[in-house]
Amino acid sequence: MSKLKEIAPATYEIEKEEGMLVPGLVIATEEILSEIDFEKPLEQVKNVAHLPGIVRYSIAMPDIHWGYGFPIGGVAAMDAKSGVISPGGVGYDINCGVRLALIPETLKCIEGNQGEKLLQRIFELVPSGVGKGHKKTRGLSDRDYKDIAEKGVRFALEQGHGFEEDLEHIESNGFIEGADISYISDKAKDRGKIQLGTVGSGNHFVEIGEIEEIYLPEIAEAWDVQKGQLYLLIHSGSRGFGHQVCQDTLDTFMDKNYAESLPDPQLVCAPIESEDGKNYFHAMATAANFAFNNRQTILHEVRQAFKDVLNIDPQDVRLLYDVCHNIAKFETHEIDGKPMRVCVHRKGATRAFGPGAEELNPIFKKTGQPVLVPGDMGRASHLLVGKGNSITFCSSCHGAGRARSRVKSSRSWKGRDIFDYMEKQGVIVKATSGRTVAEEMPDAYKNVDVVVDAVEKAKLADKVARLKPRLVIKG
Amino acid sequence: MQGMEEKRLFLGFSVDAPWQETYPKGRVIEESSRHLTLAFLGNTSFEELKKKLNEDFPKPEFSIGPVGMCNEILFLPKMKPRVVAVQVDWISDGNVLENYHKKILDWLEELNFSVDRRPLLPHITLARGPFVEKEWEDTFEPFPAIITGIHLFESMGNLRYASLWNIPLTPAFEEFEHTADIAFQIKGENIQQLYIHGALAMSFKYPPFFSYLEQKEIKGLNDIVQTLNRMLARCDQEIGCPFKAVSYHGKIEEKKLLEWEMIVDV
Repeated sequence: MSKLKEIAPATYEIEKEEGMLVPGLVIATEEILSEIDFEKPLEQVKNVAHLPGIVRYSIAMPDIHWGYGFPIGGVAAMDAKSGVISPGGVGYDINCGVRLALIPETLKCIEGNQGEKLLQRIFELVPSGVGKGHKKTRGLSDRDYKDIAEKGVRFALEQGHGFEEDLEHIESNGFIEGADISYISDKAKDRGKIQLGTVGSGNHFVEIGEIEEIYLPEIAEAWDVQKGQLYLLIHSGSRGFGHQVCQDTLDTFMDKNYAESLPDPQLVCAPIESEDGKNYFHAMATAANFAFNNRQTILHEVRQAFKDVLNIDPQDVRLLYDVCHNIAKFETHEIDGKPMRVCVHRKGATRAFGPGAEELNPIFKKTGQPVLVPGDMGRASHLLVGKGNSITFCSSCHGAGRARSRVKSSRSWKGRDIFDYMEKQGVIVKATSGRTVAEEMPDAYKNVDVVVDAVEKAKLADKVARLKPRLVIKG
Repeated sequence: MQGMEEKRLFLGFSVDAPWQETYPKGRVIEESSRHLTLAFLGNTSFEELKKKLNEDFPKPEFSIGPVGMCNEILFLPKMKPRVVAVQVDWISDGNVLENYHKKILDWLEELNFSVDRRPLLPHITLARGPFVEKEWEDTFEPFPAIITGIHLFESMGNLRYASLWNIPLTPAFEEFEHTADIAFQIKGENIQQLYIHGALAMSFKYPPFFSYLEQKEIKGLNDIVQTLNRMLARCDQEIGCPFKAVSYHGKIEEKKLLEWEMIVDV
């Protein structure tokens, strides 16, 4: 059992053990620690602390759970010169992320059968579920791929899929520098060809609901977020394209024995400055730009659905923010009083820059950036504001975190009408696969309210608003 | 074997498969009663037979339950169908299974049972009539199946079958708890079998996956992982795939059998 020592509110340290280059750090409340089985993920936190070049802490967020090498809900910053970069620290779904848009209407407009009509229209326009691509399109050409890599989300804008003002409401303005299509395999391109603008399966979704509660009125006002207003939340990533980028790199790294001497082969990594390390970053950045375009294209189609069903102008569906929660980024942080260039791996963790951060647009530079924390499809999601806490390299949690395995959730709902159950909870769910919905039922997740409370207590981000789902599309 | 209570008995394999949640019209057999029949014994006293079963019932050469794909739907008997069944195409060595079937028939003959020596048509009955063949054909998709034990079954009537005696077989894989992904304990007599059983485990979650199996000689764990991931990539590209990847997790452990914890990122 890992020994945890409370060093600040909702902040625990794991002592350094043999082989660990830095201690571990866990953001959690006593309630979270007592309810969830942390042993395996904390073992992973300790394993990450073995990686060359890791700085200060190997960090676990309150939504931590067992992941691939790194825990999901893990943050690790590596010295940009002497450290390593690890695909397991990013995850298979490169730049999986969430975007939140606001709709200038209330629940009233989706009463009666309007909600179902809207859901049906989105379902028609946005492919979701296994094998659902944009089959009617020609698919992405080599030229398109090159543009996606080099232009980021501007590629989607050039196709008419969005508005110029969307750009500054996306993390890194929807573009990760260093992307280069020449580092991508044909297999990855083939997998991604008809997947741009698709949700996929698993825990990805499109959700519409209402802003149920405002916690910080002054921030909400600055962001023009109002109680009772409708919101749109989109959760998806780089689809098969990104998965293949990760797999190609892992295969190369494994074949070159980079996993030797690591406590877990899934942590396989290469020095950031090495050719293999640089190759991975080029490829990862390309997949990240694909993911930004994916979420942008989905938003475009959903805007169209709002126009078709509710006659709401697409431009009025205002993007508030888009965050990445599976990514490695070069950032400068203050370490021991000095600025240091580090490669921050956030896997199942969200950047949470506070006021004054250079990259942010003028509004967010004043307030801190929006941090989006989807919960489950029944209870709630949260909108937070980042505080730029240096102990976590300005990072926060990314969701509620699973409390129950997929198989357990599926079994416990077997034979029950899950769609009817959800409707009685006030949520209409539409999905390609009933099994996916059974795996994703609200009780499969921790209570997101408890998770964001831990984040707030640890001073990583503050709660701005609570979001209540009403219409959900699952893969 | 007279003077004792007689029951309608037969020998068969218990099976596990990713059964469909709903079926077309028909008297559908409960999942727990589905089986693969090896030999009918007719009305027999179980008490008399039990002693012989425990004494010298032929032990199988295989320790892991055979595995197969149910690729075809059957309506049996062909002339005037009364049941809907699926044919099992063995992935495990068919000759070994055929020999074992023969041994069972020999053993029954020694006990003076009259046996049917026609070649076995391995099948699992799903439903009895009335049914509409086209409805079943239209909704059928091939799926994998694993054998979990050898049983003496009793026909209880009303499409229910109870196991009276059994020899459990080690399943080719077992799912275990993993919070975010899906995880299986894979078992095999050799590295090749570990690969096949890994692919089969994934097919239990997504049956079309097995049709992407690569026929190749496997050289080690990394080769298993990379081959399964190649299958996955092809599957995703052609028809979509619910899995992101098979991870480089764990090592192959040599116990009585080879064992590997396979984690599939979803």
